[in-house]
Amino acid sequence: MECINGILKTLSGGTSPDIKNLKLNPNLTAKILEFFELDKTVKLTLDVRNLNNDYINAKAVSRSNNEYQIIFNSIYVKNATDLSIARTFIHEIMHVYLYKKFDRMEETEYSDLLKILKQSKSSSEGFMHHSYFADNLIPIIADNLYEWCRQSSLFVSYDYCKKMAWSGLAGIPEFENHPDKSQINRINNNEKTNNYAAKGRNCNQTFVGF
Amino acid sequence: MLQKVVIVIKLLLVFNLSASSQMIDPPDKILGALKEGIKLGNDNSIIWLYKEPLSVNWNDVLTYQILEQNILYNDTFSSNKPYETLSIKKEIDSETLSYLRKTANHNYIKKWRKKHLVENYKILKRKVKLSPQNNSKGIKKYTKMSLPIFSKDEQLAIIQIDTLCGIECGEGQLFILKKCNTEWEILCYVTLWIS
Repeated sequence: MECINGILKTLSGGTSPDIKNLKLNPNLTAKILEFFELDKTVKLTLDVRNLNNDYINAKAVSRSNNEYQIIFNSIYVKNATDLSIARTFIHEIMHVYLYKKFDRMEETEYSDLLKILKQSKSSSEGFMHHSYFADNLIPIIADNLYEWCRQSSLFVSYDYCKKMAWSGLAGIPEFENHPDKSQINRINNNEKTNNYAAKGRNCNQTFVGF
Repeated sequence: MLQKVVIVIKLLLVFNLSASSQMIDPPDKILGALKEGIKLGNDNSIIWLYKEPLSVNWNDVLTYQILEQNILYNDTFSSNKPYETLSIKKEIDSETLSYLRKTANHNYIKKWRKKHLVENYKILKRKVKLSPQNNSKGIKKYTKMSLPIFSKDEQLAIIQIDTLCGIECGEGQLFILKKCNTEWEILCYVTLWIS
C-alpha cells in the first residue's frame, strides 16, 4: 500500500490542469489526477482485490458517468515491480480519462474518438480505447513513466519506458505489427513477474485495499 | 437397516440433482443475439466460450448508476447512423430492477454446453495461455458469459460478458436484451470495465 501510494504521489506531482491539451501535454497523468481533484462531481477510487485472473493486472471500472474505480489485481501487485505498477496505473488512468471523454462525446471536440469507434465497427469499447492509445497516447504514457522513473531515482532509458507503454494493446493492429513486439512482451513480463531481468524494484506488499 | 437408509438417501440425492438439471435453459435466441454483440474488432472468427458461466455479483452490478444514464444504442456499430445513446432508465423501471436484483442469483446451469450456443461459438474446456504459440488451437481470446437474468414479464434479459484477450487486455460488458414478438434483440449495452 505504501508502495502504491508512493507511486501515485509521484505521478500526481504535476502543474496546473489543462485537460484539453491531451496530445501536447507530456504530464497528462498529473493533470488527470488534478482534474479529478478539481471536478468534485467526478469520483475516482482505487482498490486492490483478487480478480481471479492472471491476465488482468488491473481494471478500470465505470460505475456511472461520474464515478470510476481502478482495481488492481492483488496477485499482480504482490509480484510486480514498482515500475510495472506505475505503468499499469498510467494505463488505467488513461482508460478513465477516455471514459470521461467518451461520456462527453456529443461535444464536437471528441469527434476523433467517434471516428475510431465508427471505423472499428466493433461493440468493444476496449478495442476503441486501445486503438486510441496506439494512435495518440503512447508518447504520453512513455513520458509520464520516464518522468516517474526520474523522480523515483530509477534509471532506465526512455526507450525502455516507451516499450513498456505498449503493454496491454494485444489485438490492436499497431501492436500486432510492431517490429519490437516480442521485446515489448518480454520486458513487460520481466517487470510483471519481477524476475532477474527486471529493472524496477520490488513492490511486494500485503494489500487489503486503500 | 442402515443400508436401506443409505440407499434412500442416495435416491433422494439423485432425484434432487436430476430435478435441478431439468430447470430451464436460457433461450438459444438470446445467445444468437449476443453473437453479434461480442465480436471484437472486425474479425468473424470463432468465439471461444469458457465452460463455466461467469459469476456475477448482480446485486452490485445492478446498482451501477450507469444503468440509469444514457448508454450506447446497439445500432451505433452496425449501421451508418450517427452516434446515439439510449436511456436505459426508460426500459428498466425501478420495479423491474428490484425484481432482477431479487432473482439474480439463479444458478441453473453449471456448464455451458454446445446445445446452448450458436454456430460460431466453441466451448473452451480449460483455461489456456492467450498466445497462439502457447496453445495448440491458436486461441487469441476467449469470453466468459454469465447466465441471463430475466424481468418478471420475461420481456427483458440482462447478461454480462467478459472478454479476455491477453495480458492486460480484456473488458466486461453488460448487454440488455428485449423480446420483440418472439425474437430477442440486443437493445443496448454498456461497458463495465476495461483492462
